[in-house]
Amino acid sequence: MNTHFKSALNKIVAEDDLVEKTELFLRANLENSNNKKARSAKQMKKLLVASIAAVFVIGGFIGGFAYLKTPVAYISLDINPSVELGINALNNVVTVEGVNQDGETLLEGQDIINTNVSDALSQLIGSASDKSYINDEGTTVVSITAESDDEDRAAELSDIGEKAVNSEMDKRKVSVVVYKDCSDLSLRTEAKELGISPGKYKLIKNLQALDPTLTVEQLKDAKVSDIMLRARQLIAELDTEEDYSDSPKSKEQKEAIKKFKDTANEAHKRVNEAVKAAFEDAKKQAKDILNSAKAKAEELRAQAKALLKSTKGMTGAEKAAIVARAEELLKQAEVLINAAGEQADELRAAADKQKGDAIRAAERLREAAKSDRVDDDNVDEADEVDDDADEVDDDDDQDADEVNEDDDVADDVEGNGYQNKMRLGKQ
Amino acid sequence: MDLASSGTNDVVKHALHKYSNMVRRICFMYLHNREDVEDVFQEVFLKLLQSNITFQSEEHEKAWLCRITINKCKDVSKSFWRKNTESIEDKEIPFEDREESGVLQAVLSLPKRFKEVVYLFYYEGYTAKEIAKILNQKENTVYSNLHRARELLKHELGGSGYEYTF
Repeated sequence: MNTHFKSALNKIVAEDDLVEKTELFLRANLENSNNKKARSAKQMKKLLVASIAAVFVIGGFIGGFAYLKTPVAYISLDINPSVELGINALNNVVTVEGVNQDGETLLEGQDIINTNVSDALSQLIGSASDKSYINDEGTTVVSITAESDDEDRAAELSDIGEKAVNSEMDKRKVSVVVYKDCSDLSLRTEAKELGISPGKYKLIKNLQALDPTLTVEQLKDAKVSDIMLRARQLIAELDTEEDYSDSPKSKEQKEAIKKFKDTANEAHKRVNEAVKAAFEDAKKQAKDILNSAKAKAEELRAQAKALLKSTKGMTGAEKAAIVARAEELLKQAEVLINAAGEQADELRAAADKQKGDAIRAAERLREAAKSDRVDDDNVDEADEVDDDADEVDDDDDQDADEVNEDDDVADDVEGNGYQNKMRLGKQ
Repeated sequence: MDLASSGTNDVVKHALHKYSNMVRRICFMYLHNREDVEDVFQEVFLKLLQSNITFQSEEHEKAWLCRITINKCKDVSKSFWRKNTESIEDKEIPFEDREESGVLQAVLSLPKRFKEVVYLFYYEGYTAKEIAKILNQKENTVYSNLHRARELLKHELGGSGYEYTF
């Protein structure tokens, strides 16, 4: 069997054409690859290593780029312009978005992409001041809300923001009230759906905790300063309510109160101070103008009197010239007094306007809160302002009366002049 | 280049002369298709000539080539194309001697793992230890495969008697 197997297999030999074909193939392949193949294996290895390295480098670039260009936290800056900045892991600004119309205006001509958060906020707050979104009286409330899922980071960002805003405002010698807050990113998506900035959304939410009848729609375009004032009123209300009713404050309300209290009180204090200062200023100015006008008219009158006295014992022609001069002086006095009266009127109008500005915030919110609750505090405040304005009015009136008296004197003088003239004419 | 190509020529001729029959036999054991055989020939010899292994001896080279050829044959018969087509030249065996034909038929009809041990053991005359090395198997596996192959062959060629004792 074994021999059969062997002999059978022995009969199997490679056919000549098979060998020839293989030989041709081998020769063709070995000739053009004798050197190449061996080398190309090494080259392949090198190529492989090089390409892997390239992939890593490119991947590194893409990863690095993504790392630097992806916002990991946001800061929303609300005054009434609402602006949102996207912040990357290195605290640089990578995205900027004006959330409302004023926000867009605020961002016009500002290039803050790739700048440090602190610089960017300084620049923006400066721009807000230039574009008069921040008033000189120091009553503007600036809200800075840092949004990040990392609480420590959000707190850190809001601190940076507060510092940046305060230092820039110190530089410009304008004071503002800074309200800072933190939130997580889930709030941001909700706010985006409503088309408002996350910072304002959080403010509104807190305010709603105090007064559930308020809607986002009503507060959407309100200034942060106004929201703060309203918050103070509501807090005061809840405090007094607590004394009479059994319903204790809810947890949300307590939190909202805690958040708002200091800033709201500060804002309110500043508004009151500003209003008072404005009225004091207006009063003083009106008085100054009238006093100086009075003094000048007095002088002119004295001159005219002296002139008329000096006509005694003069020739007709000389007398006529002097009377004409006296008349001119009296006319000048009249003009002066009239001008002073007009200025006083203007000041009165300006004071009225300021009064309007000061209480407009309160009125706006009174309208916004369509609740039936009468806001005692608010009314008090408005009344206070009204009283101040009335006082100023009274002063103005008094002054105006004085001026009118002066007018009478002038008339007298004029009358005297006339009489003298007539007398002279007769002579 | 001339030197190199003439050198190459010699090597090619030498290798083909030395091993073509053996490679052909192994191919015969596994493949039934002329084209496959050509493929295996080309690839096996190309590999031999391109490899930079320094063989310790002629025997080493032969064993290495055995192993390469067996693996190549398996690869070819395993390929998707091969699996899904039936060759028309299937099982064509050109032997006149009835005895030889019978034995060969019997061996060819064995499963692959028996065929290779039978070939290496009986034809090439390797020991079980050497076969184990070539096939990258355990020595005991080789023994048991050999044993089972013998059983099968006995059963197949059965009654025909005494001479069929491997």
